[in-house]
Amino acid sequence: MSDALLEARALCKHFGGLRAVHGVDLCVDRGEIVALIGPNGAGKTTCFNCITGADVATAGDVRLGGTSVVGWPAWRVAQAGVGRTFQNIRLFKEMTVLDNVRTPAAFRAGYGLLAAVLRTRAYRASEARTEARARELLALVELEDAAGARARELPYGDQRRLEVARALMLEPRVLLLDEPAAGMNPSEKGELAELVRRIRDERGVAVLLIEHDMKFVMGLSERIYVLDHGEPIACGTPSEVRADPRVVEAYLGAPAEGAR
Amino acid sequence: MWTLAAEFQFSWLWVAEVLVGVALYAMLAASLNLVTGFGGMFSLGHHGFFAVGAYAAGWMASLAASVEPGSAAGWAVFAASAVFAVAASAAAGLLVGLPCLRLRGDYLAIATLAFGEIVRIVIQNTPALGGSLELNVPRLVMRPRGLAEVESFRELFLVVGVAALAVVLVVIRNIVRSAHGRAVVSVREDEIASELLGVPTTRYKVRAFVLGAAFAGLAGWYYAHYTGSIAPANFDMLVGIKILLIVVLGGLGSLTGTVLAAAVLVGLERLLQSGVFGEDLKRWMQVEYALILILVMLLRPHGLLGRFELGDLFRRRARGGRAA
Amino acid sequence: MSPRLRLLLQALPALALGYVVVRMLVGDVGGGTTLLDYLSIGVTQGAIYAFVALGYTMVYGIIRLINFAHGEFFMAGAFAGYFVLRDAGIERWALPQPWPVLLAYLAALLAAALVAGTLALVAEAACYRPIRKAGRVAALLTAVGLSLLLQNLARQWPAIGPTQRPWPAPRMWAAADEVPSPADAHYYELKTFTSPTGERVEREKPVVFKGATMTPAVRQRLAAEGGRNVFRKGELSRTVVDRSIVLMLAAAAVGLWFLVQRTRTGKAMRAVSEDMAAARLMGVNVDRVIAATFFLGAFLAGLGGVAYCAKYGQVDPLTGFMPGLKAFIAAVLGGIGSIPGAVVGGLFLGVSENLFAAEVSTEWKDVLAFVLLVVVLLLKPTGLMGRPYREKV
Repeated sequence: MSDALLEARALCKHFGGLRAVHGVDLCVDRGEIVALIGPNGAGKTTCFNCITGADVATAGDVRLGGTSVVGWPAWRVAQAGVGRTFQNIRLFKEMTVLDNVRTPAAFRAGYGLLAAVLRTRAYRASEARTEARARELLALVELEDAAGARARELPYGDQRRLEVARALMLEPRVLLLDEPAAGMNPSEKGELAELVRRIRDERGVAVLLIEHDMKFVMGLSERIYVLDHGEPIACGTPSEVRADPRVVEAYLGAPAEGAR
Repeated sequence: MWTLAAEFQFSWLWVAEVLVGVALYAMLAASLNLVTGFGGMFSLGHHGFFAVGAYAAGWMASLAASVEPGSAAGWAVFAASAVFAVAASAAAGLLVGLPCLRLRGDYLAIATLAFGEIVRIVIQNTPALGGSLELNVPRLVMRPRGLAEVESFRELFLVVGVAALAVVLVVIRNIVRSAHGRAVVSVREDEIASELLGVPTTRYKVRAFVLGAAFAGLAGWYYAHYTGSIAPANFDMLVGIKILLIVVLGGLGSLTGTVLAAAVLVGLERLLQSGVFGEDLKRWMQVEYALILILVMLLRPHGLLGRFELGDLFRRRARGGRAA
Repeated sequence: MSPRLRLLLQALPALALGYVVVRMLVGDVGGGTTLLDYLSIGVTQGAIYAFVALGYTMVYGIIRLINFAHGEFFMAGAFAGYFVLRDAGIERWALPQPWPVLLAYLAALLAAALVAGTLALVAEAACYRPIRKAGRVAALLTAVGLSLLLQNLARQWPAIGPTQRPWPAPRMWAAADEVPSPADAHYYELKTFTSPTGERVEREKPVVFKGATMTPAVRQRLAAEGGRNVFRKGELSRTVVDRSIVLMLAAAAVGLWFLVQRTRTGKAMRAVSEDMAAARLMGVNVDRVIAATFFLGAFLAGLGGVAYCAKYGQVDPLTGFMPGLKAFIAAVLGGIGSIPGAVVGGLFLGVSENLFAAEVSTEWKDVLAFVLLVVVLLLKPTGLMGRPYREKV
C-alpha cells in the first residue's frame, strides 16, 4: 500500500437506507493540511466519525501509517495518533482548563493506581512532565492565563482553541478539526489559520479539517476533497476545486435552464 | 447545652456512638461519591456492596468464634476479615460493573438497584449467612462486659473508624488528582469526547466502580464488627438512599462536603431518634429524609457545596469572593 | 437471516400468546400444573407489568426520566380502589349476581386511575417541572426522593398505615351443593415465619383468593375432600380476575395506540419526544403535553394497581415497589420509549418469571428479572422492540 499517513479507501457509512457516506477515498500525507468540504449534510462529520472510530464504517478501510484501524475502539485510534475537535464544542466543562488539556495524556502516565495513592517519585515526575507539556500547549493556543478557570467559563473562541490544545496533548500524527472557525470573526479566523500552520510547521502534525468558510479553506489548505450527498465529487488544489463545475453546482445548485 | 428534653443526657457513650455512625456513613458516602460524584455513574445499589462486605467479614469472623477476643489471633482474624470483605465487595463490583457499565447511564441505575435487591434475596436464601435472621459476628478484638468496657469498645472502634475513613478519603483524593482520576472525571463530563481523546472509558468506569464497591465493603467490615450481629434488614434500600442523600447533600464530587453532610445527617438522625425533638419528628423521620432530598435537589441541584471542597471556599473568600 | 425466517420468529410468540389467551378466555386452562397453566399465570402477571411499564416508557420517551415514583402512583391507585371496594361492601356479594360486583369494580378502577393520575399531575407540577432544567442526575434523585416520600407518607397516614390489608373480594362463584362453605376455598402456602423470639416457624399462610372461579378440576377436588382443602399454588389460576386483567390490558393498549397515533394530543406527545425545543417553537404547549403524559401513565398504573392487588389479595404502602421495579425492567426489556415494547416486555417478563418459578425455583424468581435485564441489554442494547439509539458526535 502507499505510505500515506492517513488513508481512507472506499469508505461507506449507511444508516438504514440513508447513504451518509459512500465510496469516499481520502488521503493525508505527512505535514499536509487537507480540507474536506461540502454542503451541509454531505457526510463530512460522518467521515470523521468513521476515521476516528466513533462510528463503525459499513464498508471500506481506514489506515493509519499503513495499519488498518477499522473496528478499533475510538480510544485506541486516538492513542495511535489521531486527535480531533468537535463541531459542537465538547469540552469537559466542569474541569479546569489545565485538566482538560492534561486528560488525554492519561494513557502515557506510566504509573498505576497504587503509585497515585502513594504519590511515589515516579508519579510526581510524570505529573510534572504532563503539566509542563500541558502548559506549553496552553501557551501555544494563548490560554496560559486561563489555566485555572473552568472550561465552561471561557468565551467561545477560547473554547475552540482549548479543544485544539486538548487534542494536541495526544501527540497526534494527524489532527482532525471539525469546523474550527465556526462562529469566529474574520480576525479570529486569521489567528486560527496562523495557529493551524504553526501546528503543522513546528510540530509536524498533519491536519485534516472540515470548514464552511471558503476563504479560510482556500487560504489554508494544500489539497481539498469535496463531498456531496455522501459521495466524493472532486479533489485537488484549491484553484482546481474552485474551477470545478460540479463543485459550483453542489454549492449553488444547477444553473437554471435559461442561463445555460 | 440543649435542654429540650430533660431526661436525655448527652453522655460520652452516646456521642461516641454517633461519631462511629458518622465515620461509617462518611466512608460509605465517600465511596459512592467516587462512583457517582466523580465518575458520573448513577448507582442506587451501594447498600448491596455494603452488605457483601459486612457478610463476608461476618462470615469469616463466625468461623473464628472460638478465638479469644483481644488475642493476637483475634486481631489477625479481624484484619484478615477486612481484606476478605474488601476483596468480596470488589469482586461483586466487578461482576455488576463489567456487564452494566457498557450500557447507558440510566440502565446502570436500575441494574444497581436490582443488585441491591439480589444481594438481599441471596442472603435470605443462604442458611450459612443466617438466612433472613441475624448472623452473629463474634467479638474478635474486645468483649464488652460492663459499662466501662462498652465505653472503651466504642472508643476503640471510633479510632478504627476514623483511621479507616482517613485511608478511604486519602486514597480517593489522591486517585482523583492523578491522571487516572482526571480520566474518570472526563468520562463524567463527556463520555464520547473522552473516548475520542484516548480514554478507554469502560475500563475507567469499571475501575472506579470496583474501587467504590471495595470501599463500601470496608465500611461493611467495620459495621459488622461494631454491631456484632447483622441481618438483611440492615441493608435495605433505605440505607442506599441515605448514602445517596449524604453524597447529594455534600455535593457530587466534594469529599469534605461528604464528611460534613454525613456528620450533619447522622447527627440529626440520632438526635431525632433520641427523641430530643419530640416523638412526632422521630416518627416522621423517613418522610423528612425524602423531603430533604427533594428540597435539596430543587434548591441546590449540585448539593450544598457543589463540586467545591471546603478549602476551595476559603480560598475563594481570600481572593475577594470572585464568583465562579 | 432471511426476512421470512425473521417474520416467522416474530410471529411464533405472538401466535403462542394468542393461543394461551384464547384458552384462558374460553375457560379450559387453569387448576392444573401444566405448562399451559403456568403460561396463563405468566400472561396475567405480564399484563399487569405491561400496565405499569406503559407509564414508565411514556414518561421516559418524552423527558428521558426514570420516574421512580411511578410505583407509588400504582400504590396510591390500589388504595383508592381498596377504599371504594371496601366501602361498597363488595364482600357481601357473590359472583352469581355479577352486576353489583361489576359496578363496584368499575367505580374502583375509575377512582384508582383518577387518584393516581391526579397525584402524578401534582408531583409533576411540584417536583419534576422545576427540576427539568437542572440536569438528569438531579431529576433522577428527585424521583427517588418522591418515591420515598409517597411510600412513607402512606405508612404514616392514619387512614392507610404500614400494615398489610386483605383485598376486599366478593364471595366465590360456587353453587352451594358443591362447596359447603365458600369462605373455606382459600388456598394455602407453607411459609416460613420468624417468631418474635427469633425462631423459625413453618406455618400455613392463607392466600386469600376469593375472586376465583372454579375449574372443573378444582371443583372435583373440593367435592372429594369435603370442602376443607389445602391447594397448592397454581391450582386456582383461572379466575375472573385473570381474564379481566388480560382483557383490560388489550383494551388499554388499543386505546393508547389510538390516542398516540390518531389524536392531536398524541401527535404533540410524539413531537415533544422527538425534539422538545423544536416542538415548543412549533407552538406545542410542552408543559401541558408532559403533564398529560404523566397523567396518562399514572392513570394506567392506577388500573394496574387495582388489578395487581385483586390478583394477589392484599395491599400495603410498599405494594408499588416490586411491581414498579419489575415493570421498569419490562419497559427496558421491550425497548424503553416504545409503547408496543412495554406490552411485549411486560408479557415476556411475566411469562419467563412464571415458567422459571414453575420449572426451577420460586425463591430465586425475583433474581431472574434482573439477570434477564442484563442479558437482553447486552445482546440488544435498545431492548426487544427499541429503535437503534445513536448519540450524535
